[in-house]
Amino acid sequence: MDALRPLGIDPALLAAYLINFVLLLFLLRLFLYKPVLTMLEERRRKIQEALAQADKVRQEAELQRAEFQRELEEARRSSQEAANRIAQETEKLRASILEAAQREAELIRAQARQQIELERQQAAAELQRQVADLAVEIARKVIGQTVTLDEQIQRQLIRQFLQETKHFS
Amino acid sequence: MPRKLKILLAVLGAIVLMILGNMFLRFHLPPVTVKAEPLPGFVIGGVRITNSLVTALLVDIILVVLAILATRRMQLVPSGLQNFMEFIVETLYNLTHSIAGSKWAPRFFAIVATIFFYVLVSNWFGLLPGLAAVGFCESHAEVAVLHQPTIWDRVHERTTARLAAPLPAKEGEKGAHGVHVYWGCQPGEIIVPLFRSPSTDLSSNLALALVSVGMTQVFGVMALGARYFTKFFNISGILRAFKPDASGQRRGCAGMLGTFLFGCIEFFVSILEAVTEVAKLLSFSFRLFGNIFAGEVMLLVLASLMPLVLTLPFIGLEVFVGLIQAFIFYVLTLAFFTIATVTHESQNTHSE
Repeated sequence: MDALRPLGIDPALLAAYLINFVLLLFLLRLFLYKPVLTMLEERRRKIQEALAQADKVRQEAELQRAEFQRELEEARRSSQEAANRIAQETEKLRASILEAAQREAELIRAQARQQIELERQQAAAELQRQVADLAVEIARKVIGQTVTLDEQIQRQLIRQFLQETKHFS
Repeated sequence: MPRKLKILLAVLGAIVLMILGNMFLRFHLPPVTVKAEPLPGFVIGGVRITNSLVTALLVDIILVVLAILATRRMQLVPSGLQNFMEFIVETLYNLTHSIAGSKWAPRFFAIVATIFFYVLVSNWFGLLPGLAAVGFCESHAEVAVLHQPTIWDRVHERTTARLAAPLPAKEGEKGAHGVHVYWGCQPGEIIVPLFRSPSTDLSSNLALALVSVGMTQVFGVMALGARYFTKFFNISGILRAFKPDASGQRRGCAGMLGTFLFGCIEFFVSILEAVTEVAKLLSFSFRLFGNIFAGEVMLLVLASLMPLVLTLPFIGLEVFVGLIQAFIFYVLTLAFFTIATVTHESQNTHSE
């Protein structure tokens, strides 16, 4: 060790430096490494948490968006359905109204026809009667008061005649 | 102002500064001593306290104060000094982690980081301008022996003789042991600087090297148990020659001889490993000492030749060297720690 003395290596000083180093080690550990590394760790944890949080929020937003999308789709479909149904019902209603109207029209037409028929028959009967009277009148005029046949019988004859002619008409 | 004119003015200014410095600021080259100088009057328990030990304490104080200031009010969003120190510590920790792995990094970190900080601040502390000029005047015999004229004294005399007569030494102002600048000393007295970078004291470097190599053994044993020491005394190769080989058959004569020779080589290599551990102590301490000491002496010599301007680029260079040396000490220690925690066998399989 004495040979090293000119180089400045001295056991006591060596020990002093060693103690100095160990002291510095503990002081720096206490005041620098521990707080800084703890802080770094904490910061990393915080950032991780924040990122996870952001991720979660984004996922939730994504879910909500999908939900909205789905609801919107649902609403659109249901409104479409309603519109379709209404259109169908309208169509049905239109058809049924039309049908009813046609039926009614048919009924009215039939009644009218019946009425006409009735009136025609009445008119015909009236005509028959008048024709008979006229015929009697005409016959009376032609014969000239000579016809003594009972009026009742005359009428009967004419009616018979008309009945027969009716078969030809 | 055009750029060329600026450059021209800068060059002219530098030349004027050089001339003025050489006219008024010249100084004698202080004695260059390999050994850290004991400070007069500082004796504790029979040990003469050297200026480098005082500086080491100052370095401790600087580091601890910086650490306390940086971590006094830790905030989650860092700023200023806290941010700076966090950046350095985190960079060091990440590097430690990438080399040593997650198991050992937390155990290595405090030691290697302290080595880095201590060496770095020591290296840079020695570069503070004017450090060599503040100290005690002393005409101690031991110091006088160390202050025999060197080649640098002769160079200095030759360069200064032509310019001006040697600077007259003034009377001491504060008594024999007061703080003086160099030219304030009595004739025949020399200045003993109050501060000297611990990196230029082999005791400090050897202490660091002892910590590094010693803790390498400790970590080796922690990782591998007693098996760690087979690295330094490996006779398993020789013993293997007398055992059956891998297939369980007895070796033939030639096989036995071959295995025996390989075992001898392995044994020799393991002895070399043991020698290497001792050599590490020397290489660690002398590498740091040589780099920093040479840098400081170079700055002093250059300043004594030309007090102004000339040293500036070299101070920049030495700042860089100081950082690099601190980093080398840190990385080598870390690498030795890491190697010590890896088993010898797996190392072999790696290399094969």
